[in-house]
Amino acid sequence: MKKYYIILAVLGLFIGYFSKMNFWFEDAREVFFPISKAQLKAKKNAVAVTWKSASEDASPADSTPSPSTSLPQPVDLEKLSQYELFHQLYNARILQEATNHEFYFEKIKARLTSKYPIAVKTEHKSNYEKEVADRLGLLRAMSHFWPSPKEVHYDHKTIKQFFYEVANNKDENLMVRRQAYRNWLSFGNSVSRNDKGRFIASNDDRLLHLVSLSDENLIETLTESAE
Amino acid sequence: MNFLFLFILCFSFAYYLTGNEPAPASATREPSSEIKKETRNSYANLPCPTEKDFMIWSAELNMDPIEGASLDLGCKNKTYRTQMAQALALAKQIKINFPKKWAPSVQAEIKNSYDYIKINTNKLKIDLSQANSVARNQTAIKQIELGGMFFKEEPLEAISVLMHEARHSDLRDQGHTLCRIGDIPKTQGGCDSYFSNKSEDAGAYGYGTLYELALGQYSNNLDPAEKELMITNAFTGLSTRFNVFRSGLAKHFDIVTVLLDDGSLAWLHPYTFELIPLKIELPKFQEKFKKIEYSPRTGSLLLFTESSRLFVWGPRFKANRPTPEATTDDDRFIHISRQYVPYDADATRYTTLKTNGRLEYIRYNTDLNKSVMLPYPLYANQQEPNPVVPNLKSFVLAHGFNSYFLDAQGLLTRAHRYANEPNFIFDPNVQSNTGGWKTATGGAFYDDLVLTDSDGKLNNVTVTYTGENSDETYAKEVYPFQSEKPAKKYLQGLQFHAVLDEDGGLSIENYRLKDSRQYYKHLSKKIVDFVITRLTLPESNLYKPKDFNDSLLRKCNIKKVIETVGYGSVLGLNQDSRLVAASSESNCTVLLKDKIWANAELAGIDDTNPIASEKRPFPDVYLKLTNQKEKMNWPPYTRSSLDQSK
Repeated sequence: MKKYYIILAVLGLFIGYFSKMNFWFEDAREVFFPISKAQLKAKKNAVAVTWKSASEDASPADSTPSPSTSLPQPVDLEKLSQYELFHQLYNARILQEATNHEFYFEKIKARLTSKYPIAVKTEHKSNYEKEVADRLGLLRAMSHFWPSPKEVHYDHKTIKQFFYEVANNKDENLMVRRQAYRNWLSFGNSVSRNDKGRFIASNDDRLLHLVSLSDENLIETLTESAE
Repeated sequence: MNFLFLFILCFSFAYYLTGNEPAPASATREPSSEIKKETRNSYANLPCPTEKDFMIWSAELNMDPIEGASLDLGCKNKTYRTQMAQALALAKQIKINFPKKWAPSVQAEIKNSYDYIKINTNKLKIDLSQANSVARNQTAIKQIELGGMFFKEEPLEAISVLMHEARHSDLRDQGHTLCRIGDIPKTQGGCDSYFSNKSEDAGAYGYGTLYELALGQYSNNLDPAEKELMITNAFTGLSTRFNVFRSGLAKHFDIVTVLLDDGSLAWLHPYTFELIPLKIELPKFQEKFKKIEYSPRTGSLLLFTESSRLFVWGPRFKANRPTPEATTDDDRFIHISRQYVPYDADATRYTTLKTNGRLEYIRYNTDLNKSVMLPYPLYANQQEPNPVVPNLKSFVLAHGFNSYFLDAQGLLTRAHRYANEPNFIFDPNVQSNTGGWKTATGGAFYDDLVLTDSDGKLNNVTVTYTGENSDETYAKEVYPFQSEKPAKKYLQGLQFHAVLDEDGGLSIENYRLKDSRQYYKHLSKKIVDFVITRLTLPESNLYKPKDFNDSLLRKCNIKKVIETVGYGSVLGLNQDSRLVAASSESNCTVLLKDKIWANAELAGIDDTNPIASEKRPFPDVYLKLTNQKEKMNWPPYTRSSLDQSK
């Protein structure tokens, strides 16, 4: 009889361990409940990333969210700034959530086409500088997570046109324009050669030179000792 | 019943024990609060130092006492006292592992944040009566005064403020000045005059920017969001807190560098066609050059000698091996280009092809604290048993993020930036119909792909995205810019593009000027290779240099400046609306004699363009040749180029 107790205990430990690791059910779930292509892509992209429900961040007071397999509610990017925003972009990686690409694009577009606040330098960085950094962060995140039309579940021509408009907005910050132009150039070449020619012809060589430098090159230029 | 109870007990036990294992992404999503706990950029998450430690730091910084409960009771209740203690504790924790080359004089100081603050602070005063002030420094007595707003900053920002103020204590600090650009123009004391990465003259905003870059690049244990935020903040500061960019980031103009058939080098002015011999002394070896490339990053020429040695030379530094710590005198190179490397996304690396067939890339190794050559992962993730990439002759970065390779037969293969795709793809649609491609370029922004075929025709490869999956389709088409004679090499600059033909002639066309093509051919020598080089215009983005005068415009009767093109040269319209290139060192040259530019029609330029606008009447650029190590003597102006022009 004692032998059966031992076998049962080991069996319990064994099943308990692999249940936690989703060893049994992962493949079966996909067989019986096939996930959509969009979800599949998001899953493929989520390499070694721990995800969280975006809705949980929208209400920070709720500190005990329950695990869920349902799709997360999108985060309202317009209201976030500095670390809160970057946390969503780079830790939570919300732009990888394929089902929300259109939503996020529209939010980012709304933010980058709105007017800047009048600069008031009360803190170490002015509110204008923080807005520039937020906009730059959004464009850099788009470049990082949506490097090509293949990675985006939304009309890529619309996104590309948006990059071009930001890059051509002479009221926009230089570094934001630089990033927008870099995004535009690397996001497929489906925009006409005329657009590129027009941009080159109508913009300062300083901007063009900055565009031609990658972030790494830019930092190296800032920090290199030879000059 | 006992069986069931035991089973449930053991199951629960095992389930509990495995609780720390990461669950698959599709199963559960980690709550955001758990991620947030990792950030150091929140006082709520920072550890609370002991009262004893805080007392020691207070004494070291000669800090005013801050009222409040003992830290030994914890930092749960956020007070000025707990915040100050936590910020200083964080400053002590942060360590930055710099590579040697990274702004050496500054890194030595900011490597240990707390020590830097300590060394540069005679007294740290907390003045909460200054509720709307962040911080200031009574530099005469090195007294840093923190106002109420300091305590509204996030921890990393608070440390950045202390570093900024600490820099003010250093007599070498350039001090702040009136902002001329950025978000608060005309604000006194809101900006540094210029950005510098040297401790001899950098300002406090410069230190702040460099500190943020350092945190973003090389600090320990910051999460991805914190690192990105630091780098983004640094980029932002770069565009708002400095009246003058570092010259490497300032305005540039294009100049052609040519390699002549006698192995000599020269700069060729793209409009006046003045030829300036470029004498470059190589270390140890005196060899002729046989091929040239250009690195926009360092503004340097990449020079291949007859014996396939490779040297890097720039106007501000002597010729040397590329990354000397990673290469030797014995290395022989066929080609070098910056490429994306599979598994190494988000950064381009110098990639070299050696004569022994080895394809390698240069990467900084943090453990060794030096750059090393690593094998380019040619066969990684290769899905075909026989890769099509060996026997290469060149490679380019193009279409934004693809690396393209040309093999000895001129077949084109592309490697994707991401390692989860097949590494090397051979696409029959983009091959040459005439026996392979000779050369390839990604253009000034690496977004194009223009190829020269064996007949000397230029083609470009386009990418279009179609369908629900945005499938990529690559196609080739005839390029709109062609040379009269068979093309040998095509390149794009920021202001013009140019094609070298097999006869050694060079066709140059300015993007901004319609029908502006010029043809240059040396009377006695043949151009065998060329690059479009960018030269920096010192202090060019804001100020008109002091030594500028408008005599040049008067001399050439230039009534309207179209473009400033370096070497003190100007492209403009004279009283007859003819296009004139005027150089301070030569006569005025009427270009395109048969063209009348009645309305100065410029492609795509609007009135707000600072280059074309008459509101900016005179050239604001002048290259100071006297500052350069290589003394250049201007040769007597010859008309060899224009005499042969079409």
